[in-house]
Amino acid sequence: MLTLKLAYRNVLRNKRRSFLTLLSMSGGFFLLCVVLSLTEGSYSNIIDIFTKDRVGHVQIHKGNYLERPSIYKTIKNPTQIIEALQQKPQVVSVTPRIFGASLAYGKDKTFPAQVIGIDPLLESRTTRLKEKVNSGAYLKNETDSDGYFSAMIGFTLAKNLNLAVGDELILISQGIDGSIANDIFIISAVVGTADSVERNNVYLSLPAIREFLSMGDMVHELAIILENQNQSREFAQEIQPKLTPDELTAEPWQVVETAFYKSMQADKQGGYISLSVIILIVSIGVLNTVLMGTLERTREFGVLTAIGTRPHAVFSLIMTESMILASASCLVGLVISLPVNYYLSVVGIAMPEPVDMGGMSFDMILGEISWYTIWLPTVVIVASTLMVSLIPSIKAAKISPLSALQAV
Amino acid sequence: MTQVIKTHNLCRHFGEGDTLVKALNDANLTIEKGEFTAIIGPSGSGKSTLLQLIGGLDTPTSGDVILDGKNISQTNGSALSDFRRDHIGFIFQSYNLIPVLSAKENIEYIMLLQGVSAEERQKRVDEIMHAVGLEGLGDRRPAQLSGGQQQRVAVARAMVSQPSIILADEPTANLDSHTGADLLDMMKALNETQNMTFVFSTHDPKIMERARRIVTLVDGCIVKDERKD
Amino acid sequence: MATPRLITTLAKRSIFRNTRRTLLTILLISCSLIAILFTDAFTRGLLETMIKLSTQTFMGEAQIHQKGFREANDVDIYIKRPYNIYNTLSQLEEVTAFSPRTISGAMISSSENVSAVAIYGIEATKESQVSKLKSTIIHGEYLSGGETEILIGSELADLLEVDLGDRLVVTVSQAHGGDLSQSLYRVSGIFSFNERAMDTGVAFVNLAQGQTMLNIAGVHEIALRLKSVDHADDTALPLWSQLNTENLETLNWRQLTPQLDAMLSMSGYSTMVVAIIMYILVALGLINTMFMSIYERHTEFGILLAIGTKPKQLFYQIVMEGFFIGSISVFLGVVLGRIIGAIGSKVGIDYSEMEVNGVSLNEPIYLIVDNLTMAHLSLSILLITVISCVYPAFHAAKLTPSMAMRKTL
Repeated sequence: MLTLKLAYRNVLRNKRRSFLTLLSMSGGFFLLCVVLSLTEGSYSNIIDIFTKDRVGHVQIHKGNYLERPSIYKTIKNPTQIIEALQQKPQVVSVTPRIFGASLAYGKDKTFPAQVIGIDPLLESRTTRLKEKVNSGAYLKNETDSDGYFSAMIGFTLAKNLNLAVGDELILISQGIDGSIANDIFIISAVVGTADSVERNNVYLSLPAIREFLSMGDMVHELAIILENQNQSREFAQEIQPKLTPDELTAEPWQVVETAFYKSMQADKQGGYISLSVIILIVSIGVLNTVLMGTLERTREFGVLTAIGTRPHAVFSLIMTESMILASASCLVGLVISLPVNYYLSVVGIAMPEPVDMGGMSFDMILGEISWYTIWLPTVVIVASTLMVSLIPSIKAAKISPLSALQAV
Repeated sequence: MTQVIKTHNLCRHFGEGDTLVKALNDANLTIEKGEFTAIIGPSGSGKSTLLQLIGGLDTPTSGDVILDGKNISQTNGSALSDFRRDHIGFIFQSYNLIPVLSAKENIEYIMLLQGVSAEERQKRVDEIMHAVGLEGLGDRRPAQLSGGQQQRVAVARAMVSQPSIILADEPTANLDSHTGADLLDMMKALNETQNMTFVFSTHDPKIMERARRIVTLVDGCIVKDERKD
Repeated sequence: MATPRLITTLAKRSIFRNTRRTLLTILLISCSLIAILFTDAFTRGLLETMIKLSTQTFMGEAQIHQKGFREANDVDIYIKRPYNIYNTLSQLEEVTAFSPRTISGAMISSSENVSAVAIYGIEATKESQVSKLKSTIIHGEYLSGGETEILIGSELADLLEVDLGDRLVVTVSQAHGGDLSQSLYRVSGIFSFNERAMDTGVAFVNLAQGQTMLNIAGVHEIALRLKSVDHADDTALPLWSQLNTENLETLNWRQLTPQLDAMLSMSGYSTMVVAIIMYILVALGLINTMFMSIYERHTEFGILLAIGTKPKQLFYQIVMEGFFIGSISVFLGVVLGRIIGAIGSKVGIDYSEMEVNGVSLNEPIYLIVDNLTMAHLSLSILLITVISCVYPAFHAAKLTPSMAMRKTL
């Protein structure tokens, strides 16, 4: 307690110096906090978007379907698996999908289209597809009065084919049994915009696509949404053993969108290096200050030691002084960075043009207020201050009373 | 004899109310040219304060200091600074010299401020170094000189600009008695040969022995003024 | 007042009185300078690599399309009389090469699998002068005009489970009517750009086949290789007005990939942001250091003032000290910065995991040192150093001469 009191008063002794040192440490904290917030926030935002848009947190496929898609790599008994998954507490929802590449015919044009078979109800619980319908009605499982199945069509595809809600859409593909698949569908809705991922897709209900591609009770993909995206890896690892006997693979989003993930990691690493350099420079400044402050008090420490203070008490005193400064600067840094981070997390910075990173489109830089963006800068500032104060403190503790009193 | 310094009801107070300290009270003092005078008194008596006021290092609370005919208590800023440069030489107890300049450069310093020509500077420096017994040590830095030698450089510097008066604040306090005695003998010699006025503020009996006048201060007031002629 | 020479001498010698402190301060300032220089060099290198990868791999520095093609990607919007344009292009000295291409979406199927791709019909020789396609061939041969030749990416080959010589059926929807046409090809070459988009989703056939398949006599795109990438930005060049007409649209790489362009312009800011951060850190560190140095010299300054030195002189001395410290730091920073720059320009930085705006950074990034910027940044740091000293210098000038007679510490 005495140490704390002494340390506190010593820090206040030279207000200007303490203030300037505090300023640079708070500055360092602020920088760390804001940069971390922006990086984490932006990436979290993107991950949230694409996982909830279509990828989900974990996907299940047959074998290496993810690297080498093939219509033949199917998951049998999807309903059982879905039910089993829905029992798990982390799972919010699961949805099955069937994929087929085909040619889409419009009024007088043909375009290739990715056809995706979905379970409308489960899909609407798992992804945001339903919200992306901008004209017409969301997909239904049943055929209409004339016996036609309905289809949802992406924005750009609709434009290219010159089709609208209510028009006929002809799809041609190759069924799983090798036969030519050829069917007419009625467009019930147009989804997405010219920039969204759905733009060249056609969505059919599972019954519709099964009939179209002559497929039985099987699917190509199961997409799972969990409570939190950071559970993805763990969850995938957890369910994998049960899936291996059937040659099924569970992959978290980090593997599904590996190009993005790798880009993100590379970018983050670059960021960490920059931040380290900044902290290094701040530390040099702090080292200078603490060192000088210690040296100019040589006489004082000599006196302290002469009257009986133990060396390690002097050591603790200086370390405590530094800690007080470090803590104060973390607080100040926090106070100035919180409002900034709040603004960034709520409003963010809009990019003039979206940047594509590994296949994902960033159009906003968002901040984030989280424990990570608070404790990491704190730990870094405190740790670097401690490290930097070690040498001066040891020097001070070693001062012999005699030489100190002789020095001027 | 010409009056070099005259103080008139000089007062210096610090603080106010409960913390009022009357460092100097109504000091009336006259110093004439060629004096070798010591101002003595216990700690806290106001010696240093008096010297600071005489030397224009501090402004009085009330009263006047007239130095070489000029009322310096009414002067300040640049004018005061120049006046000190041209009329007063200072020797302090320690830290007298600029550590990064050599002995020669230290001595030259004031002349550089005054704008004296290089030739003239060289001449005076050589003369004064001879007079204080420092030949050959001109290029050494203060850290390479002994305490006694450093103070000699200080004396040389104080003298070389040919001031009206030299004020010395405890110049021998950090020296051993032998060195101190040598220094004082040298200053006494300068006083006698060049008629340079010296005023000391001191505790040192060696100075009191050599002084021809002793002014005693107690609690901010001049209580005794003794001439030994 | 004392001569400038005296002040300079005092300043120069004073900074080395406390060597450790001065060295640490120099370290601080030079590290900051090196950090800024590095950021600038890195950013320049990154941009150059990205532009190079973008334009030289396949896109070219500019492209000509029929107006409307880029928005609709419609097979029917094609350049009907390309030969006139070829003539014009051959005569323009800024254009070193051009490559006409047909483009359409297609279904490509092997016996094992089906995939949707973009099919380019290219003129083999001309294409090799514009893009890197020829040099990316890893198996088989480049196109040579044969009817059944087709080049596919390594990943597409894996996906379709085909190898050289295997059959592929390409189905496209023709222009002028939309009829489907199917053509048979045999894999004659496999390429690898080491880039996802190209290696999975693009296939190349000879121009004649491209045109026949699509039932057109023209082309959809003419990619241009310019003598220097700077020509792309020179809007005064006659080529832009000649090639932008009622029907034709000629755009440079910036306009073709606005995302990339935007990113490039944003990078200019990052160097500035880093610089400002460094300036602030330097200023703070320096002010503190200077104050400490002055504090140690209180008595000395008091004496100087007592013997007649003007306060202004002390002010200038401190500022000079800052100038010298700054100069040494800048010198050190520039020397080290150059060394790092030289090493960095030979040994690149591997960022190959990153893929931004469709550009896969599969080439290492080399540092590029720009002398003008280096000079500019160095002088700025020096200026900041000197300015930071003003506050402490001011303080020094306000010291009182009575400090000379302070006895206790």
